[in-house]
Amino acid sequence: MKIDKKYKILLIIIIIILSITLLTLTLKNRKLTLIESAIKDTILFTEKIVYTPINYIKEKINNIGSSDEYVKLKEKASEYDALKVELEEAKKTIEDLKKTLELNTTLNEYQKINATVITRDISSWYQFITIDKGTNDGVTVGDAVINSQGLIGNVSKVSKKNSTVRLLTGEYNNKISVKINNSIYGLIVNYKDSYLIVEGIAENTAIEKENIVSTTGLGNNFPSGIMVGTVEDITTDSFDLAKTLLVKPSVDFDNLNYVTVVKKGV
Amino acid sequence: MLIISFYLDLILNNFKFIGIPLFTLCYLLLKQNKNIYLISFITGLIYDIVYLDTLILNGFLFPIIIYIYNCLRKKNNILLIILMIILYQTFIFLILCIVRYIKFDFYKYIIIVLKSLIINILYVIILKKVYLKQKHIFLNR
Repeated sequence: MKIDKKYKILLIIIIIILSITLLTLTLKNRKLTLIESAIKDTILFTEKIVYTPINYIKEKINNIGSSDEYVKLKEKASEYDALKVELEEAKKTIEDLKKTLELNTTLNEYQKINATVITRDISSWYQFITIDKGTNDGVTVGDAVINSQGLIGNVSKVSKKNSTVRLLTGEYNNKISVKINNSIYGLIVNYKDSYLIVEGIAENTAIEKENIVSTTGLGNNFPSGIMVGTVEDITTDSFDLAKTLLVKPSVDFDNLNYVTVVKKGV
Repeated sequence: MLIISFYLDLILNNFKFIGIPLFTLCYLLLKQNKNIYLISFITGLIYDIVYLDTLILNGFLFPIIIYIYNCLRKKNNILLIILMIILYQTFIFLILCIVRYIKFDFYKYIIIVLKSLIINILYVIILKKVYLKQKHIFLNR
């Protein structure tokens, strides 16, 4: 009986080691197999049917007491017409310049695919979300994901009808290239205590609080000009050679319902 | 009831204030039959595919937790189920730290464990009082 128990304990230890090994191999970016895609798509499709009315009620509850927000939005709307004219003028100038320089695409052009967040795992609340668009809708791994407030993250895994989005606030390996006030370049290296950490900025650059941080479009799949956040604090590294910025994200990561997948280039 | 527990997990995961639901695991701990290890293995596999896009983390972890529960229990005991939930979250947290998926943060671990406990204890109480009692009455007619 004692030997029997020892074998069981040994079996448990072997199983744990095997699961850690499999986890290490499968946790990084990889393509989902056909069976995995089919199971995930089926379950999330049925979950979406059940969750849609709940989401509707949740939104109605969130909109209660939103009169202050309505007043602010009304003030912003009055500036909208002027901005719209400036934008049209800028677009026309870009088209003319592209023709003159014979450019096929620029860094800030992208296709959009609208999607709904159908699930997120609370234990990895600030790491991943799942959206209801997949390869059937043109989504590919690496595509940037945004909402009306700014950059959310990028697509890490895709099945036929769903995609997993790695959030900007998660622990990620790829550094994201950003620019501050359209002129100073840096890299997002981490997310800590509700702030994005931006490093790689020369010490002699002029940066102030509330400067806008946006994507550069260089080095990864994020188009340029997507809002990331605003500078909240400026410090220097331990050698006083470079600046480190604490950037407050423009997106409310507690409230992600509708997102847009953007594909760089036309 | 297993499928209902699974879908409740999926839906309630979208509500941050509720906590971390582990209804599927709670149901598997309470519902014991001769194929429990096979059922928990398959459920764990599906859990992995839907939540983590990995293979066989929960597929192995669910049967292990059920085995430990069976070794320790004399009858269904809420305190023991609380211990199993803590054990499950600890295993997951340590394994994810070992593979460097997340950084070790003791404060984060405590928050995750506390968030798991309240909602899952409530579900276990409801399951024991309502569902399993009803099934017992039905089977004994």
